[in-house]
Amino acid sequence: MRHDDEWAAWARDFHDSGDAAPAPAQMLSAARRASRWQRLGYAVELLASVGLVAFYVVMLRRNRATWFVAMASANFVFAALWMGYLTHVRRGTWSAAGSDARTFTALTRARRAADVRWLRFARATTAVMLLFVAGWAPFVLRARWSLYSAEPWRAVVGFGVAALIGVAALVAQTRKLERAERDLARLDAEG
Amino acid sequence: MDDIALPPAAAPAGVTDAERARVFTEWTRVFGPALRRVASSYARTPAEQDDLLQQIALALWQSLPGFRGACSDRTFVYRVAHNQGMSFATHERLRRPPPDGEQRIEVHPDERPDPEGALAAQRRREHLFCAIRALPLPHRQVITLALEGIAHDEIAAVLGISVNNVNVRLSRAREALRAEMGAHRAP
Repeated sequence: MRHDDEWAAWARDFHDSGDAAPAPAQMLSAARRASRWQRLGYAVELLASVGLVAFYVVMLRRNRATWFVAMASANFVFAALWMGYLTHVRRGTWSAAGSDARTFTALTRARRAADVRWLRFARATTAVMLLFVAGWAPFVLRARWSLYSAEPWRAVVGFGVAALIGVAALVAQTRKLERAERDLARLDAEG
Repeated sequence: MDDIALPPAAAPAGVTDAERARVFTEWTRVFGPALRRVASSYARTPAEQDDLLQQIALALWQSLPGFRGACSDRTFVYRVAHNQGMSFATHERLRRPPPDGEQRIEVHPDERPDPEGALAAQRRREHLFCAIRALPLPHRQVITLALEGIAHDEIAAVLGISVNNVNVRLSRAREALRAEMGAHRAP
């Protein structure tokens, strides 16, 4: 088959396959719905962050004990460092300089690279926190056991749940990091 | 194919929801079959293709107010579609292996009078899309746009490369597609 004939045959087969496009009205309602869900997701994330800060502010007003002020301050500093590093690794990846495919590909690569750096940091931070909690919790539980005398199971369950959440976060971050690294490798291989 | 332009009076930031919906509906009516082909070029299973088509629709909806008419409607729509396709193809979270290890595209009932010919055509199409999906992304993008019948200067605008680069890339992509078609010969 001559190259021109071959190309014409490919083009014909290619065009014959696009006759099952969804109805425009259906695509419009799906796009609107997805857009609403996306906005709702952003709002929930924002609300959760504001709620966490508000919780500590309210607790600080109620409890002025030195240990609590120290713990809350450490949390604020940690959150600031966390957000600061996130902003640092994501610089230059918020929007593309253009809308063509080459620019978008470069942006996607930069975003995946930022994901990898960020997830490594987040996983290391979670691991350090878990080690710290694991070492610190038994002492706290022993020292304050008398306070739990009414319902001592609460302390054990509370620590257990916190430990489970920490381990689950560590596993999830590891899996996400592995996926991000594979995505990055695939992008590099695709050129 | 005619371009569907926003009315000159409607500044992007001031596009009303009704106007945005009108342009979006018109774009998906005119470019719907092409968007389906883009989705088939990046995603394997019908379910994945539907997912990608929805992502493209969402991206079009969200980027529409930012469209300032600097390029044609078609260029803009293809840019958005291929950017989403590229993102889909390189994001492992969104790619699942097909259940039986084969690559499939959606099979639509064909009511033409020649069932054997229709089946053969269906297999050829399936074979073509399998071969296209096996190409590296830069080749896949240029070949799908060229098969769509887009002029080389417009392909250059969609991909953000020079026309010379399009020619070189397309030539290599055609060779690669020919090799893929030979390697995965249709049964």
